[in-house]
Amino acid sequence: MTSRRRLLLTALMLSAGGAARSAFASPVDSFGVGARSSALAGAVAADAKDFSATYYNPAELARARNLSLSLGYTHVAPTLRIDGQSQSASDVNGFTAGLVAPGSIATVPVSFGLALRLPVGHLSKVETVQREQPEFVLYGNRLQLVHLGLGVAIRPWPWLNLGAGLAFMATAHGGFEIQGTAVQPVSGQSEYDSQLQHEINADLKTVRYPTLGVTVLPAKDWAFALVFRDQAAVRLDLSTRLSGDVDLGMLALPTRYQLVSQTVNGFVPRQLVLGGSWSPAPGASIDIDLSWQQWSGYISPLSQSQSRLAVDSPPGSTLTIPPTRSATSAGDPQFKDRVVPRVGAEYRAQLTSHWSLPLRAGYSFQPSPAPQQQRDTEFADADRHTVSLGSGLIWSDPGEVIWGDVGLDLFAFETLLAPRRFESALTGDRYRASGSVFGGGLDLYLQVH
Amino acid sequence: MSSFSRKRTLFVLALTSALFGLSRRSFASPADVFGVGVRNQGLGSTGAAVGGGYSATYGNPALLAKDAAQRVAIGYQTARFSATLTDSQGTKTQLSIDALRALMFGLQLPLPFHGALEDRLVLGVAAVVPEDALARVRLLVHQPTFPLLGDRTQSLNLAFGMGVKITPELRLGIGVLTLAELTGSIQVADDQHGTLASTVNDELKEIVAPVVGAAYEIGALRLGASYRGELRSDFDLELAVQDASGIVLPPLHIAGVGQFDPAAVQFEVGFEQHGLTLVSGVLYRHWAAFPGFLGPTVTCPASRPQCTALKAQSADFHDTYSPRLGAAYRLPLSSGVSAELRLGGFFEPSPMPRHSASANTFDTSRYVLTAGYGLDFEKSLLPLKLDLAFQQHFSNNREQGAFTAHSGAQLFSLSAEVPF
Repeated sequence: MTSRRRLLLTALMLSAGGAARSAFASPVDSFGVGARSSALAGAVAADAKDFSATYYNPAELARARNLSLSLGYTHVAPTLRIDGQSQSASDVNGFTAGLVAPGSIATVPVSFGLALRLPVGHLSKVETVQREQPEFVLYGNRLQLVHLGLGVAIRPWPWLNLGAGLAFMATAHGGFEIQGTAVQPVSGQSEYDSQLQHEINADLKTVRYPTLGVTVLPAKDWAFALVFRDQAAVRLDLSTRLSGDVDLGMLALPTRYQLVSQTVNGFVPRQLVLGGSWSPAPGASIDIDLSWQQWSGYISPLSQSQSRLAVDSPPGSTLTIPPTRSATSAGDPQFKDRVVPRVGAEYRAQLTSHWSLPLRAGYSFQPSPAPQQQRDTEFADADRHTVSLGSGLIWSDPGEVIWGDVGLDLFAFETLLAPRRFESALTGDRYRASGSVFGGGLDLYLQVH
Repeated sequence: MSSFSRKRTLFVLALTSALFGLSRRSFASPADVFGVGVRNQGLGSTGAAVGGGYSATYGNPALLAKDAAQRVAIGYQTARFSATLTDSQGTKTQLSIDALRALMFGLQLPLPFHGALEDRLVLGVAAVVPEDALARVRLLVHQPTFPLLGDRTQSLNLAFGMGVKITPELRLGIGVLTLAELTGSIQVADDQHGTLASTVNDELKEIVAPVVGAAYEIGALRLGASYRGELRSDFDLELAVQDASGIVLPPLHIAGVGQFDPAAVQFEVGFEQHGLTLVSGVLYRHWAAFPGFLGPTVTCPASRPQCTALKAQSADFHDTYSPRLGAAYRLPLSSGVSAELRLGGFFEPSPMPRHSASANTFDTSRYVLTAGYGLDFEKSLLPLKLDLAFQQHFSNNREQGAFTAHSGAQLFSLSAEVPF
C-alpha cells in the first residue's frame, strides 16, 4: 500500500489510542483545598477546622460544633520552563464548596462533611502526553479534575476523634465503532459524501479512594493526628473497531481496523500523614505535618496499545498492508517515595468584641518523585518549595438572625521549582527544568449554631 | 463496662464497619425511572405533595421545609430488567440488560438561623449513585436495544436543594440537578518522523438543571407542584484527520445523547390525617425535545450544503403524561415504634413512536405496581427509620416495526434514616 493509500482508518484508531495518553491526579493533592488550610501550607492534619477536613483528616470533622457552609474560588497559575523556554501549562481555576454538619446519634457526637472542588468549565480535562519531548507530567491538565470528598467522624470519647472519608475522581471509559464507506475526492466525489455511521459504547466512571483518620487530644492545647489515604489509579481501557470501504472511485477497498489501548490517566499516591498541633495561646496555633507519599507506585500515563489492520485487496494488487502494531509498553517511570514536611502558624487577633482578624503563614517542601535517569520517558519535575500566607475577617454574632460567625478567608502562595538538570533518555541531550507556581483564593463561610 | 459505654463502643464498631463496607462499593440512583426516596418509591413514585426529607430535594424541594430535623439517610436499591423481541415468525429474542445496583445517600440540614428566619430554611442533598457507572452511553445502531429502560438508569442523580417556609401553609423550594458530559477533539496527522500521531483534548463537563417547587396545605390536604429542567448529557468527540497518508476524511463526529431526563412538571394532591396518607397526581414529561440518540457522523460544510452524507435519525418522541397514586397507613406497634404500609401504582407511557426512525430501538409503555413498608423507632435511643420498597413494572406487547416488543422491571430498595 502506498503512503497515499494508507488507510485513515488506521489513523482513526491510532487517534483513539492517543486518547488514552494522558495524566492527571487530584488538584487537591497538589494545592490543597480550603483557604485556611491552603494558607497553612496544608499542615492541618491535626488542625483542620472546616470542610477541608474531609480531605486532610476526616476525624477533624468531629471537632466542629456549628453547622458550617463555605463557598470559595481558587486560581493557580503555573509557569514551567525547559531550558528557560516556557512550557504550555494552563491555569487551574476552580470553585469550592463545603459543608460540615455536626450532631449526635445515640448520644455519640457525629459530624458529616462534604467538600467539592469544581474546575471552571469542566470536571476533568485530558490531553495527550508526548513520549518524545520533556513534559511536566505532574502539572498541567492532571490538575483539571473535579474533587468530591465525603466524610464522617465520631467522637466516642472527648480525647479521641475517628473519621473516614471517600474521595471521588471521574473519567470516561469505552469506545466507538465506525462503519460505512469513506468516499475519496476523486471523479467529482467529495469526502463529505462519505456514508459513515458510528456507535458509542462508553461509561462515565468514578474511582474512589478512602481516607481514614484519627485525632488524639491528650491535653487542651495539644492534638496529634494520623491519617491514611489510599492510592487511586484511574485506568482507561479502550477498544475500537472500524469496518467499511474506502471508495477510490474505480476501486473500493474493504477495510477492517481494530485497536486496543490501555492506560492509566489518573494517579494519587498512597499516603500516611503524621500531624501535630499546639495552641500556645487562645486563638494561636502552630501546626506540623509529615507526609509519606508512595510515588513508587506511580503508573506511567503513556498508553499501551495494539492495533490490527486488514484490507481485502483485489487479486494481483501490489498494495502493501501496514504491519500489525504490537503492544507498546508504557514502561515503569521508576518514581520514588518521598516525605513532605509542612509547617503552619495561625494567630487570630481580636479587633473588637464582634470582629477579629486571622493571620496565617505556612511552608512546605515537596521533593520531586521523578528520577534523574529515565528510560523511554521524558518526565520533567523538580523539588518544590512553597510559602503561603493568609488572612481574612471574621464577624461574630452579626445580628439577631445569625448566631455564629460570618467569615472571609484569603490566601496566596508561591511555589518555586528548584532548577534541575535531566539527561534525555531518547536523545542524550541535557535539559534544565525549572519554574514557579502562583496561587490564591478566598472562602466565604457561615458558621451558625 | 457500663451499659452506656458498651452502647457507645458498639456504635463505634458498627459505624466503622459500615464505612469500610462503603469504601469497597460504588453507588447512584435512576430517579426518573423509579423515583427518589424509598418511601416515595413505595407510594407510586410520587413525591411532589407528600413526604419530605432528603428525597424532596429531587421530588419537590419545597417539602424540605416541612420537617426541621437534621437527618442523614443511606440506602441501597437494585433493579432487574427484562426485554423480549418477537419477530413475525414467532421467534423470541431475550435481550440482555445490565441490572442496576445503586447506593443512595441523603442529608437534610435545617439552617439554625434565629429571629425572622427561625425554622424557615432547610438544605437537602440527595445522591443516587449506580455501582457500575456514573453515566452509560450505549448508542448502538446495529443491534436492538431498549435505550429508555436499562442503560438509562445507569446514571448518577445528584441533587442539591433548599426549602423555605414562607407561611405555615406555603413552602417554596429551589435546587439543582447535576450530571456530566464528555466533549473534545482528536486530531490525527503525520508527525515530524512521518508516522501518524494524534493529539487528544477531551473534557468532562458538568451540566446542571434547575428544580423548583411549591407546596400548600389546606388542613389535611396538601397541594404540591414541581418543575425539573431538562438534564441532558452529550457525548461529543470530533475526529480531525489531516493529511494522514493522503487519504481524505471529513471531520468525523462521534456524538450522541448519552443521558436524557426530559423537562418535567409534577402536580399532586395529597391527604394526611390520623396515620392515613393518600396521594394522587400526574407527571408531565417534555419528551418531544429529545433530539435523537446519535448525531450525524459527517456534517455538510457550508461550502457543500447538499452533500449526501448520512443524516442523523430524529427520534420523533412525544410528550407523556404519567398518572400516579399511592396510599399509606401508619399503625402503632408498641410504645415509640410504628409501622407504615404503602401501596401505589403509576402508568408510564412510552414516548417512542410505534414506527421509530431507528429499526433497532424499542420501548414499551409500562404499568407499575408499588409496595412499601416502614418502621419508625422514633422514641428509642437510636431513633431509626427503616424503609423498604418494591416495584413491579409490567408491559403489554407492542408492535414496533417488524417486531413485537415486551419489557419489564423489578425494583427492590431499602434505606435507613436517623436524626443527628
